[in-house]
Amino acid sequence: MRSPFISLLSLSLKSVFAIHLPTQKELASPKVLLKTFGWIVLAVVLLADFGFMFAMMDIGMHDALAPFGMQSLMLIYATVTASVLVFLFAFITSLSFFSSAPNEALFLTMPFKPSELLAARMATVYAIEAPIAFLVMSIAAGVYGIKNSPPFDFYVWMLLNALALPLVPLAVSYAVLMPLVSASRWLRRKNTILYVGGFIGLALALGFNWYLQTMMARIEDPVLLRKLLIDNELNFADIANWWPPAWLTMTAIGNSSMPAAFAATLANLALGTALAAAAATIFGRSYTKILANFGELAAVKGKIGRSQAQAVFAPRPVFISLVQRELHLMNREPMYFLNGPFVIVLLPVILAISLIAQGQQIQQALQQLRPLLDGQAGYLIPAGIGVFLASSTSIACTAFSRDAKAIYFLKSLPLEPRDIIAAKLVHALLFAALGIVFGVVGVGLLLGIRLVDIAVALVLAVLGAVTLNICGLVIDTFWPRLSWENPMSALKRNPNTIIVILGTMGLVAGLGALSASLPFQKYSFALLYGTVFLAAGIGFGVLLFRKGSAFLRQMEP
Amino acid sequence: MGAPIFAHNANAQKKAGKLMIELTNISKTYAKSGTKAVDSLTLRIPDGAIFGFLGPNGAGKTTTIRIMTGAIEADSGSVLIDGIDLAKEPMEAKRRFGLVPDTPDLFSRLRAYEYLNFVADVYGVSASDRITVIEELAARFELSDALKSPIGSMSRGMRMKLNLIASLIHKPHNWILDEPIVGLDPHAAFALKELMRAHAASGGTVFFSTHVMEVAERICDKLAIINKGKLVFTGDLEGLRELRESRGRLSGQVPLVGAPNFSAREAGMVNIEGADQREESLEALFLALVEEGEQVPEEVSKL
Repeated sequence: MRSPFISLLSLSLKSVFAIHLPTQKELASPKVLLKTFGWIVLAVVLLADFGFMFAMMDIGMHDALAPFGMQSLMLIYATVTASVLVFLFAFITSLSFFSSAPNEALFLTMPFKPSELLAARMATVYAIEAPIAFLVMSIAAGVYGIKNSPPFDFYVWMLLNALALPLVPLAVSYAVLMPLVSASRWLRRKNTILYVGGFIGLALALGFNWYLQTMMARIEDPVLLRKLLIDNELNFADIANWWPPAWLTMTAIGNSSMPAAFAATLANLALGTALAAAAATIFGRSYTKILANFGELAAVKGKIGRSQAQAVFAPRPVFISLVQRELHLMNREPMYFLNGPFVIVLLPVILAISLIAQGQQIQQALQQLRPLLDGQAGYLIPAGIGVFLASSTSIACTAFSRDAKAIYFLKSLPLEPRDIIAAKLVHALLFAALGIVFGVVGVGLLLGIRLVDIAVALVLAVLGAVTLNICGLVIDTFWPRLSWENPMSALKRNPNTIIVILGTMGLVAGLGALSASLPFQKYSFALLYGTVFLAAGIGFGVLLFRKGSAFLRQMEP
Repeated sequence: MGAPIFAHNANAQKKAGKLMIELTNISKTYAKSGTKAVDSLTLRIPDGAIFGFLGPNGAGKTTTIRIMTGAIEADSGSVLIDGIDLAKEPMEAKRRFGLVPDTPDLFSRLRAYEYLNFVADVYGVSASDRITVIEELAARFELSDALKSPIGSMSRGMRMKLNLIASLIHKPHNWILDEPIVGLDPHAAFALKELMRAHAASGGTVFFSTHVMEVAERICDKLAIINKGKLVFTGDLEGLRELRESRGRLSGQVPLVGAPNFSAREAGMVNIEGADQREESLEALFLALVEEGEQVPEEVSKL
């Protein structure tokens, strides 16, 4: 029989990762097979993407430092990067997990020790952090290993220390968060946690993006890289000396004596485990109090008076009411808002960071691009960005998935299915319009595009965005994901979202490549793509409104 | 009581003996699970009556309600609401009823008044009418102070009360409630029963589902019992009592021994001296009918 703690830990891991591996029987279904293949491809692409990014940085850094015999500085860089990354992830993940306190509160009725409840949660955070540290360190070990052929035990110390690196950040994150969440009623609300966690996460992601862009820019310039690493501009060596897990890691991999390396690794693991265990023991009781006193939304007291009632209960056209319902339900749910409409703001910010971080290189690149921007690229680039932003909100492609069980109630109301579908489309197009403005006008002005080209880009982006949003709504009307308990499943974990976002990326990139290869006149591309978008939009629109009503009538969550 | 809420033109709509909700030969199999949730179900629900729809969990009650409200389509059969075919004139038919769904946690990100406004807009209710209904029912269900609150901040009982108000906002002739008593406090449950009686008394139809015989017995004029998608009894309480008597005579036992199953006996619902034998035996009979899944003789199954 498994111990209760192991069962709790297993449940916690399963509920967070929610990975269902299909059985052989399930794989007989082409749909399941295709879906599984899609997920594997996505996982490989994501892993390869991050792996490639770190590998390129490590290789660039190694090759730049090798002539000075200082290539081992690359290992310090990797250790510090892994330490910082796991710290960020540990903090954000620990904070976010408080939002599931209402569900976890059920465990308070079971015979678990407070420290066990917190330890299971911390172990789940660790399971998210550890692969990140492992990825960064193993790539660095691989790059360094290929180029320097170190002894075998180097790899062992690298990887064992990679597993130790996340432990101290985990303990420190809870040591910081527990008093904060205990003391603040404001932080014990799901909405607040989701918004605060979401915004901190985005800020950290942007910060990390800035850091990567800066590093990439410097790696390409040996003088700047030397300044960065050898002159210790970013204090890598200081961070490695000051942060005990990083120092122990460097001691382990930099020591030729095996007992010393072993002792340093053991000390690293012991220090992390001891601190994490201490945090679980010390804060266990506070954790159970947080679980017991976690409030979701604040009730608002107060009557609607007679004088107010006339305004509050003023009738509106049904369609306006339907659109307003869509707007409220999407934008008041932090999970939906941050991963949906907020993307329109986030992506331009990331773009701006890249431009600023890579300052001089980007300026040079723009100078080189100038002749190109005078051609079809002048309107195709802003149009492409506008189309992507307008289609990346996931509003249309999750429209019915988000309604899930409410579909039954909606269908029992005297509402024409086409009105429900149209309201969802209008909701998506309202935000698409914002995306088009940010993408086309913003990028157009930033790149100094001529007004006539901005106007052409606007028309093209509107046609493309409307078509892709209709297409997204077709997908979610025909194949909605209606069975879920966590809103995340309706949006972030919805295959429709991935299909539409990756599909849009592929389409924009494909059209870009096509435009570079076809010998057309400047505005011929606008005519061609505009006509194709218009025809496709009409086609998808007819399909949506002709067949959508029947699909909606048959929708069964 | 509640005159403004039940001024639903009952007299204009009501014709002598007219069946206000009629389900004929309804069947439904869920495509995903292959479960036959409703099997050849025929129900005639008259106006001016409170009709209880009983069955254990998974019997097909909610599926039947979803079919009769147009939320899902039946594989076969027809639904008439006030004589209007739901499949042919869905908009018109849907305007004739108000529904209290079994999941009260819909639209948790809306505020209570926003939800009521949405429903009122859908039914085209005038400002003065919606204010009248909301004020009266919110006061009756002690929800007046919570109308500005997000639905997500409300308890299950409060959400159920909100759905009750929303279902009556357009003063429907037919009131359909799916497990409405669950989660309500005693005061609200009493208020709901009063409302149901008032609605029926004014000529409207009340159709509600429950899995508790006692609830049905205290409120219903008519009832139907469903199990595994099939009707095992339709009639009134008197018919159910007659069935109990006949079963008792057939088995040579006193009427109390209406439950041949172990669970009913173990549950203390039969053969308890000095207890309310009428209630206990009907509960036991309900359990017996459900567990046997038996078909009731033609002469008993009548309205």
